Amino acid sequence: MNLEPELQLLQAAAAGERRAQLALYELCYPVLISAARRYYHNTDEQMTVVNNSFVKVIQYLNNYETGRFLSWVKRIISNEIIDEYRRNKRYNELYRFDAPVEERGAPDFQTDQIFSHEQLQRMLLSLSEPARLVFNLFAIEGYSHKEIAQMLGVTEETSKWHTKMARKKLRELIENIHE
Amino acid sequence: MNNPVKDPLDELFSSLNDLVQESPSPAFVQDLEARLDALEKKRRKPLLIWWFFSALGAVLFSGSYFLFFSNHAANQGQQHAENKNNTSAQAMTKKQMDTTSFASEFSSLFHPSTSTSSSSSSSSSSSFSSSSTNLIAAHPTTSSTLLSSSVSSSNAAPSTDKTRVQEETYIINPILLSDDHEKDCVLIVDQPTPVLPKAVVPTKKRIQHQIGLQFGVSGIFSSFDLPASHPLLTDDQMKLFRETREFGERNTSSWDFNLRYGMSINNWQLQTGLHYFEWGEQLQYDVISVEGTNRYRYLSVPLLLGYSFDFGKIRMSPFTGLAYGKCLTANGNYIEPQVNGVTLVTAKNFAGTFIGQLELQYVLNSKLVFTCTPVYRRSLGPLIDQQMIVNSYQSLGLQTGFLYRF
Repeated sequence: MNLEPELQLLQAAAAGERRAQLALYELCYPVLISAARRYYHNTDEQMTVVNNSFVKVIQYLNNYETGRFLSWVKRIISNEIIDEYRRNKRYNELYRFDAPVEERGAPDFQTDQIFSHEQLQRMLLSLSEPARLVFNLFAIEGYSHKEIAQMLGVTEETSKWHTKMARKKLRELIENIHE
Repeated sequence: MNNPVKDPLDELFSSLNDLVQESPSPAFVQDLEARLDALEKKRRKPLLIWWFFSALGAVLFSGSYFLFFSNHAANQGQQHAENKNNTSAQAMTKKQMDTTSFASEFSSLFHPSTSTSSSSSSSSSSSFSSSSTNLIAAHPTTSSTLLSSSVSSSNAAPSTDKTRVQEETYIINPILLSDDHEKDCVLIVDQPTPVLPKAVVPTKKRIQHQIGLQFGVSGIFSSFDLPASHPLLTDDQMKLFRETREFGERNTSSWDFNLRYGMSINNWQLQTGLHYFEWGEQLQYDVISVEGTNRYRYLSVPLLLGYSFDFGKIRMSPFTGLAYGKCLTANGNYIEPQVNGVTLVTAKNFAGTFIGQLELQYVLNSKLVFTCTPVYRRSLGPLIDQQMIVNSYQSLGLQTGFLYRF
């Protein structure tokens, strides 16, 4: 499925044409809402972060150079979520855990069960906020611990610790579903 | 973004990254439209501000232009009149000398007793007509009457006071020295040589003090330097860092306040005081979450030297000099060289600034002066010099205010 927008659409949206902006919104919406749902329970919170991110897309459309447009949009919403996290002063929670983390051995988790998006989202949202944030960035968005540490202003150890805690919790949840 | 060995659990959850085609609900669209409206308004606002400042600039410029030229024209008129005055005076002198010598010769023929002292006679009549000249000037139509009376008076009561004439100073109405009245003047016989006032050039130094308050707005232009290479960054990373900064860091504006003291010696001006101004830039990186405005606030003491050119009520004074100040707000943040995070920086605690300004003054009265001053400032050396963040600043602004002279 090729979702990359036409250049003309981008130019019209950047010029302030409302119809083009709404057409672009339709195109970006799946990317934006899927990211928002991984971080927020509440529809209002999801709406806020989705629309704030899209407004930034419009604002900085002139800076966008040819490339993968939707990847650029994904980065914008990730940044918006981190910002939101900072604004709500939940940032300090990240600093609580700074103990060294032992490197994980061979993956010991295996499952044949197929989970729906909704089930996975529900499990993800049951994590604590810092663990959810770090796990999202690491496991789903593909950032390295070094990058997460730089983005969030924490140490790599902290990022690893939150990932480990998130995995542990998610395994428990999956095992509970099995039972 | 690299994650070489993936945990099966991570892989399971990474399926959440797959896109599912979905349309936004009406509530989302409505909320978005409200936000886009707000964005549009925000975009228009700076335009309005620029229109306002452009209009203000145009009004000030045209006002200054009008005042300057009306004043200039008046000065030229006055100078023209003075030139005529001199020319007429010379003509009068010449004619008067001719008539005086003729009168003395005539007098010696018919009144040998009174001609013994022709100079005394002419002096005495001069002394009388000198006083009558003002009357002639004020009422040219009556000149002949007065002239005859002056002649008769001088004959009736000749004075022997020679020195009085030479000390007498004539004030000649320049209007009467126009072409229409020149004839009246040259018709006057027995006029003394008018002693025109010498141009009074003050030799003493004129020292004046001024205190004042000015405020204004400046546009700040930020520029940064990057080393050609960095041991930890590839060329592509350096390029990305440079481009991200170029796109993400924009000009901003600052409020300026200036409490000033000035001293003028003749046309030379010395200025000092307290300057408050800001350096900084707007951050709008689209790849990381940092945004806002870096503001480095400085309180400086300037020392400026200028020279003023007077055009009547308008005075134009170019100034140049340096300011040295203390930083009041020093913290800022920028994108990291890896373009992933934030670098915190601190501006120099003490910094020098070059200042150039063109002060336009309008003298409201002997004490109060209105000023309008375009100001250019440039930081001396980089204000921020921290590893990969090396920033320098310039600004161009307009300050207005009042000065009190004493």
